[in-house]
Amino acid sequence: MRTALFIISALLMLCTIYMIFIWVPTEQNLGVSQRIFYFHVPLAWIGMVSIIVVGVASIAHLASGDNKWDALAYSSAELGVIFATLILVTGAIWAKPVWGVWWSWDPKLTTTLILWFIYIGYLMVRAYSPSGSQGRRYASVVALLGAIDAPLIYLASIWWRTAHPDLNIGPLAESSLDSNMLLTFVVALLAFTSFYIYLLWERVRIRRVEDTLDEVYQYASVSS
Amino acid sequence: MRFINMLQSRVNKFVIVPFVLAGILFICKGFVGTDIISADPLVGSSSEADGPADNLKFLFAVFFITWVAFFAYIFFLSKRLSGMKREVEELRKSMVVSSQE
Repeated sequence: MRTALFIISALLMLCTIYMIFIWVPTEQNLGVSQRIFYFHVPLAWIGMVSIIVVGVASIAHLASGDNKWDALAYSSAELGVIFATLILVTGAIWAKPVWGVWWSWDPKLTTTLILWFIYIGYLMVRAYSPSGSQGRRYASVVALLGAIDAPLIYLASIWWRTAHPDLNIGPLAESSLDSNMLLTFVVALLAFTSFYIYLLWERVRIRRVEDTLDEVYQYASVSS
Repeated sequence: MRFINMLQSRVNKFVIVPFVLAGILFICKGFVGTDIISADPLVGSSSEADGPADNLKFLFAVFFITWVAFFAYIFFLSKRLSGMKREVEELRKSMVVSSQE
């Protein structure tokens, strides 16, 4: 199953790269730089999905006390840091040719930066809090606070005046993309989503082995 | 985990370094605007420099950074995995020693 998911992700990624660089037509106003959209928006989508996964898994962990939910939350947070960093970096690179600046304190950008700090905060709580269930509970609370930021990022361009383009994904999407552009976008979205699921799966497995090793060490230290 | 194991066992991480350096050099060359590789003055000062085609360097930068980040994370996972395997081996050895005693 995991191998199949990896192969699907790889094929979709190859397809995405072909479509972005060769197949999709160039947008008339923004030129070649518009193609960054097919990287940036799927990364942003995963960044938001990731914090929601962290939040839901944290609720499940708080409710059940089962460590498998905690492993899922931690793994998703670790991946979330990477995706959130990539959202900010790719966004800055896209902003330069379009807006003429690398960064502006636009509501959408600012709430995304807050998301990045929440991910870092979550991982820092995990790293510096006492090992065992207490640290996990502290981190779960941070994750719940962080999950509130996801709808704020999504709705930022509706609630506040922003230079950021309209929503392209989700129930409030207002995008009017050309059919070829839309197809490329959907393929890119599927490729990045399947790649995220594959990485999450692998990370959860490693995290659970790490937890088992910790338990063995704790048992050994208690028994000796 | 098969893909990560495969990377860990077959790909020497130092093989990646020249590719990463080449990419960084390419990006820096594009953003700084000075031609590091070729000394031809016409390359940097062509009329296309301010046109839409010039934005290709931004697209390349996004593509390159995204994939470097993904591969760096996969290497981080493979290092974690090899560290855990080592720990399991040490535990196994210590168990054998303690059972003999």
